[in-house]
Amino acid sequence: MVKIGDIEIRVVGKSGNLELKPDNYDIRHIASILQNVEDLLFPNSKKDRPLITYDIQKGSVRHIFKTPIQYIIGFSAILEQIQDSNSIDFLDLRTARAIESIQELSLQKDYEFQFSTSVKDNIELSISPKTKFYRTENIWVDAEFYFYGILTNAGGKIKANIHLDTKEYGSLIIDTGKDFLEGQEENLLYKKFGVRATGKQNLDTGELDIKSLKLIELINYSPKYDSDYLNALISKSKKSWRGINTDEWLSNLRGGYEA
Amino acid sequence: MNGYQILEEDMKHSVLLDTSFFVRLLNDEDSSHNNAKEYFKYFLEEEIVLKVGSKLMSFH
Repeated sequence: MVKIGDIEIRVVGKSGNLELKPDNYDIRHIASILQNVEDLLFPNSKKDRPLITYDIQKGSVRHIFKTPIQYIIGFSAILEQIQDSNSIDFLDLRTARAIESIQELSLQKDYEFQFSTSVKDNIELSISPKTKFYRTENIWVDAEFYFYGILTNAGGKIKANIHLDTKEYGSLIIDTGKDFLEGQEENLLYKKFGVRATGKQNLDTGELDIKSLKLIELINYSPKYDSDYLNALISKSKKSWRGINTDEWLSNLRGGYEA
Repeated sequence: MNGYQILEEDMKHSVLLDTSFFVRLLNDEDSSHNNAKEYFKYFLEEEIVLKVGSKLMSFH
């Protein structure tokens, strides 16, 4: 049994009046394809991924990638599903973005990208200026999130942002606007913060689009037991409970359900 | 369990706090107040993540 399989992405098009070939194919497009293929094959776990090797050949331009056959089989199934459903809404975010990026390049340069694998003989997916492989925007809705972590970076020449290192999502980049950072008198770096932010969330999967985050508010987050603070809250809130039988109140709230 | 439930899938790291927990914690005349307060202190000292339902937060 062959353990290594390959993926071929054949690019058909022209460079000016000339047929496309490796000699006139810009390295920027090669770099883009390499990045997209990595995202297509291993959208989540790049650190532990197996080796992917690369070759470029004539005809017009053929990108050849080799990696263990197990991943090629999975990738082939994804290609088939995209082609059959004519949709990328079922893909996770990174994979969908990679397909969108290739679709965009196809439109810009009038290229056709033909995907095939060693698993099947035929072309499994074709992306051309005539196809429209974009996510349906309305399944991504505006939502509000809270994140907690250590602020590791703040600034940016063009886009002002903060980097928050979180346990749950890794490092998040959150747009802040220059005014916000300009107005900070204290050093924010390497301190724990809570961040209230807006962003896009997938209605079907609940997935968060981490590239869409915008800061609403930075919250001082010091998860230490503070007796004085707690006592102040208690004296403020206990007044509301005067004359109320809390057991009865909770029982009514639960409607007879007892955990 | 009364007042909190430990999440089974993440037992060492997080607890889900319900309405009862907050009612007892924020009223020092409640018979279970000290109990709730000690738990709260323990959770923070042990860096256990406190999880609260969004409906509960809006309610309080």
